[in-house]
Amino acid sequence: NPEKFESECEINKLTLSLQEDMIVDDLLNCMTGFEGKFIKTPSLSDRHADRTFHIERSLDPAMRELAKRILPVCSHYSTIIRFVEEKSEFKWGLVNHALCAAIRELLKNHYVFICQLENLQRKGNLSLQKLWYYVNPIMGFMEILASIIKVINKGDCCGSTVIDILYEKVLAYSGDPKLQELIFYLAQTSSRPYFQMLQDWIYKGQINDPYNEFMISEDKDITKEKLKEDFNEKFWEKKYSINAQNIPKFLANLSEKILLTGKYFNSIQETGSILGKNLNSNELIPFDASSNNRSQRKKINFPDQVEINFTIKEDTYKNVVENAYNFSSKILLNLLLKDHKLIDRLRSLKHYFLLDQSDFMVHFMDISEDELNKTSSEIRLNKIESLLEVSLRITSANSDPYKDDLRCRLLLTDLKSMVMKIQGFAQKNDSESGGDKLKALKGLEAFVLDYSIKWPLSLIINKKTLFKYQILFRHLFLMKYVERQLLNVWLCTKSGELCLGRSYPYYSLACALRQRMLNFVQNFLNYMTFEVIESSWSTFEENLKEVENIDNVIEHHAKFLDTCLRDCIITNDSFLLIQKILSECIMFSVFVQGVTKNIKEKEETSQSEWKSMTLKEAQELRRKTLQEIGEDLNKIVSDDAFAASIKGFDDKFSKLLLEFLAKIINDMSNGLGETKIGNVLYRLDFNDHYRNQIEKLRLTSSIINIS
Amino acid sequence: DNQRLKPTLILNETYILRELIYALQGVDGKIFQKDPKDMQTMILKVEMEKPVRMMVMRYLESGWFYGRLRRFLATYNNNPSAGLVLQAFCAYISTELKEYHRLLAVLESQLGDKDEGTECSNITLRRLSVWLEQPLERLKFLNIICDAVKDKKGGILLSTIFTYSKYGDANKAALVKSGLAKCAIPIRDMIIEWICDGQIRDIHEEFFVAFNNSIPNERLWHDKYNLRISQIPSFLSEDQAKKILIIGKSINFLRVICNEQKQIKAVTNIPSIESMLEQKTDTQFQDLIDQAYIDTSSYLIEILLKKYKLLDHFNSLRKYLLLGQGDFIRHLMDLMESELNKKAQELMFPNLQRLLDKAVTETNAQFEPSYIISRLDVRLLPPSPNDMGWDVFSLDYTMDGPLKTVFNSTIIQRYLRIFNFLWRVKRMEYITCSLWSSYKSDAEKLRKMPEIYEIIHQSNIIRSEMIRLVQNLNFYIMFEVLEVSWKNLCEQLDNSKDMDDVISANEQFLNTIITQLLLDENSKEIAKELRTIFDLIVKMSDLSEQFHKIALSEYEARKEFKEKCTDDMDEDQKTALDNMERKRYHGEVKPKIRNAKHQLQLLKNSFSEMVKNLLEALKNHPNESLRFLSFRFNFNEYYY
Repeated sequence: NPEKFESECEINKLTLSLQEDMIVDDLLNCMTGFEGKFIKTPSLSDRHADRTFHIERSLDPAMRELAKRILPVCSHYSTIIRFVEEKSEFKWGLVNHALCAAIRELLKNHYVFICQLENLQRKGNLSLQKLWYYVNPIMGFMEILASIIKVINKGDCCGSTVIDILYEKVLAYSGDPKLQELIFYLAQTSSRPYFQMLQDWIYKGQINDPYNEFMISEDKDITKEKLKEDFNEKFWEKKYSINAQNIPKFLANLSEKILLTGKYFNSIQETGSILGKNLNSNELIPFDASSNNRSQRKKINFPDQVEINFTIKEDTYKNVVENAYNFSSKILLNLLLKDHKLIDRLRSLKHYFLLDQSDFMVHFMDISEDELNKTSSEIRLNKIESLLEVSLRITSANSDPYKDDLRCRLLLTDLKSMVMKIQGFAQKNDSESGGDKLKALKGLEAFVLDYSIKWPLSLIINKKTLFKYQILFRHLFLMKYVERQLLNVWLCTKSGELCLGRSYPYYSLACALRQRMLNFVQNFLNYMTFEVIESSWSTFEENLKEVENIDNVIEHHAKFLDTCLRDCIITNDSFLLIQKILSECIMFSVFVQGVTKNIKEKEETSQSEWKSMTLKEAQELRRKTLQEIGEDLNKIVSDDAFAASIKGFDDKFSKLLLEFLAKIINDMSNGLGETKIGNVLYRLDFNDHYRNQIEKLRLTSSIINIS
Repeated sequence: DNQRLKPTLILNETYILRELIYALQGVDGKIFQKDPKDMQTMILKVEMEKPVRMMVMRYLESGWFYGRLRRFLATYNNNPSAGLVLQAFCAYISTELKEYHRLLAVLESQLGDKDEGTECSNITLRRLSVWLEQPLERLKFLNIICDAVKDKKGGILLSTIFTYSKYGDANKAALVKSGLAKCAIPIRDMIIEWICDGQIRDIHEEFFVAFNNSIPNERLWHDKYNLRISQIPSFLSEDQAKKILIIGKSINFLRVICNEQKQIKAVTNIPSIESMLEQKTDTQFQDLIDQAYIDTSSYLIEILLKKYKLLDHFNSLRKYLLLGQGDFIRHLMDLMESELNKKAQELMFPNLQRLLDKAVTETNAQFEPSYIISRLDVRLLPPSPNDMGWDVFSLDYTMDGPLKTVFNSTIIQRYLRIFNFLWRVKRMEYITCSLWSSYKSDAEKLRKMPEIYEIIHQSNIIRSEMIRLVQNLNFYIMFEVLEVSWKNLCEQLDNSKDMDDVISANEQFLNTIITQLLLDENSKEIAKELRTIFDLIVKMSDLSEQFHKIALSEYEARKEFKEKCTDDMDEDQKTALDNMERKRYHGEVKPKIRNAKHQLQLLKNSFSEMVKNLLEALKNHPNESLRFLSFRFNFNEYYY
């Protein structure tokens, strides 16, 4: 009977008790999201706006006032129900779904509550006052819920942000245990999917994240297969990465560890085939060896998994994550040490890059010298490669099972810029001007060893560490080369000495200079190999025996390399001085070899003629050649130009050397004395040969400083 | 007033509720009737107060969802084209609807009951919200899924449902999962039947293993069974799917090709659906697949090795087609030489077979078991004009039964191609060596004629250059290519877990050999150059042979002349004889010598030219071992 209802709009014509009855009925409607007869609501301006209500003006003013107080509950309900409807959609992610489910659970209670009120009303037992009394307790909770929802709505939050908001609210309402309990319930339920993902990750290394809510994101395009062609550590760096937006604040400190834990699990599983064969003896991983690899891989799980639940005690998370981290790290370490023979690998690296037991290097230099003396653009890498292989196979390196992983390369940058790079000097100007330097780089300057390392050893020996090894190698290689050149000079001058005697002052000066240079180079080489590399290596190996997880290994390894770099005076200002001294030595030896080139040739031709002669003839010839050589040499040596250049070399070398020694003394007094650098000084100047000169130099420099 | 108003409201409410309960099941009543326009939505026939109307409309929502599900069922339930999985899904939906019916029945029965203390019934419009809240959510969710799975079947359908099971609300996720578990049963049963019996019963093409009956048994392993990638349910990994494919394929292979009827794997305890869906936590399914895979594959491999002697055949292919059995090959070449020097068209097939038999009986090949040696045969490749016997001759190795799957005709074809190349290289070595021996036997005689010996010497130099090239090439082929790849092959065969591994090992073996012997597409140019070098060697051999003959006849002529010049001849006679001799020499022999010298020079030039080209090409070859071959040829930088 529709007309009848229309006429009732005039509420002021009804009795007060009827008015009250009607308005209570309306309020009950509004509290479950329906419009009442006398309480109307305008349509919303936007989907997240508060719902407003208009109460019929003609209503009794007192009742109207009381009803107005109850209305916020209706408004909050509207906000809540709209939120639940909206965020249940798939696109809002698991955390929002779970939050909606939790709110729905609460709303069920709300409906039951309304039904109870209705029951009272039907019994004629519910006045407006009573309603106000009953509604009062749920008011606070509804308000908080609505305010939380508004925050979430405002930022269109999902995933960890939602958890963050709830976490803050839990802390904020710690004064009111009842409210806190409710919000805690919401937080716990809604964070459950997130923690499930976290568990999967830190216990199994798996990511099940359909809506991109988790803090770790996986790049599925990067696979192990691609890795073989590409850089080794790319997998480690890029396959899994932290997505900073998705970290709940209370896990922020742990994010690195969380990332690593799962990564370790993954790397163990990526190398599964090896696991199946060799890990039987390893007690750490509980699986049986009879079934095949793939199913075993699945079984590498953390033994005592804990279900992670929402809590406000951050220590709980920390403990869980650290346990998992330690476990995975330990397994991976075992894998590296036992299956992949990490230590043997490192030893092999040391053979090649740090010239330990490197008879192969001498041989290699013998056969490749001609090739390496060319400029790097003329060198055929193939040839160098095959020469390297030859020298590996016929020397003691042949017994190294990993020798096939050794490669060689010709780099475009010289040692200096490599050192700059490692010291963090990104000098753009330098690389530009380096363009013309490139062409001039000689083979032996560009030559460097390389080592192909497969997963998972590339965790430890990656491009970065290899870079340091290469720097050390290039330095040592250069030293060796210089030593070799100086020894060649010795060969040249030796035959000259035979015929000249030692009466020629500049000639003997040249010999003396050579001797000093040799002394420097050999002592320095000795210092680097024995005092620095060997001793830090033995410390490193000692340390490796006690490592607990991968990080320790990486740490010790880095420390070993850095010590070597520092004590070999590579990451030090004096490095440039050493370079200068070395280039001076090279220039000197080139000069002397150039001068004595004719002599050498003559001697060689005469030697080849001996073969077809009798002893007497040969002796005769020998004397004659010596005499000829002597005359030639005499001519050269007594030339002023020769004297001048020898003197020039001598001055320059002495000056640089003194500078270098003074620098070391200076460094020592500046607190670098703890390092072994000082030993260089005692080696080079063991008999105080340079001491006075250094003192003089320091004096003058200090005078300059003072003035 | 108060007394009058209330009863009407209550009466109205009960009435509305009764009508509503009908309407929630899509039944027309007096108040609610279907909209004649779309026959789906319910419309109100009676005007009501606004609050009541809103409430009722809200409840009618579940009626609407219910109606949609009913229509979904009606569309697919008796649809023969709907697959088994969709049928299972429909069954699941109807059980869900049954729950809904039950609820409505309960509501209806309570409608009459009076709540004690009040005159109103147990159910009010408002209370309905408590009752209907959860069913509404479920119906809504099921509707979303129905919309998504419409017209899909098999694995795709399962994958779709699986994506919906990833939902943050645990209740709803469980709802979907229970549905998924029911839907996955047909596929699970197909998997079990396939991995136990190798049977596929899949009229709707829902299973992710497809088969094609028109494929002959010979190609059973390769082409008969395939994966339908899109039909792999997303809760199975592709790896598992591949394993499942191989298991059934192996069973069929054993049954059809190998005639092995033994039942390999009987699944006693069928894995639970949950273990298939929740592989993270339950490994039962994975274990079953793994076990079945190992059992069938290793059984198949065992049959191949033991019954069909797979390794022996690999070995004999290496011995005969890849020239591993040196004495046999050498002897065969000795026997066949004269025959193969003929034109290709003139070859007599039975002759060649006879020679092959002879070679077998006279060398170590006679000790081979008969099941191997009987397979060895001669094959003549289709000749092109001007082809010599050498160009078309080939050994052949016949395969049958399961072996034909591993060594199908294309594979054998590739072996033959390799043989052809190796045979050619061997022949070059043979020619150059026989040149040397023929020279050596007459060396003493030839030395006595300095102007002729000079040319012989020249040709000796060229010959030794050729020998070096050929022997280096041979060494490279035998040691660096064949032996190395053979070792790899043996390793891979040892580690083979299933038939596919065996096949791919063989293929990889052939691929490396073909690349490293310059027989692939990339090396066509280089191969051509090598071919020209071989031609030059043959030419050289002809040339030397001719000249050798000339030299010998010259030797004989001179000897004759010397015998004629006896001491008792007078001057005139001597001069006449001398003149004749000189005339003979200058007229006949000298041009020949000059010609030979000239030709030799030409040959030498073009040979070294070709070798240089070859080296240049090898140096830039992408294959590493071929680059090293160039170093081997040019170890002392003789050529540049």
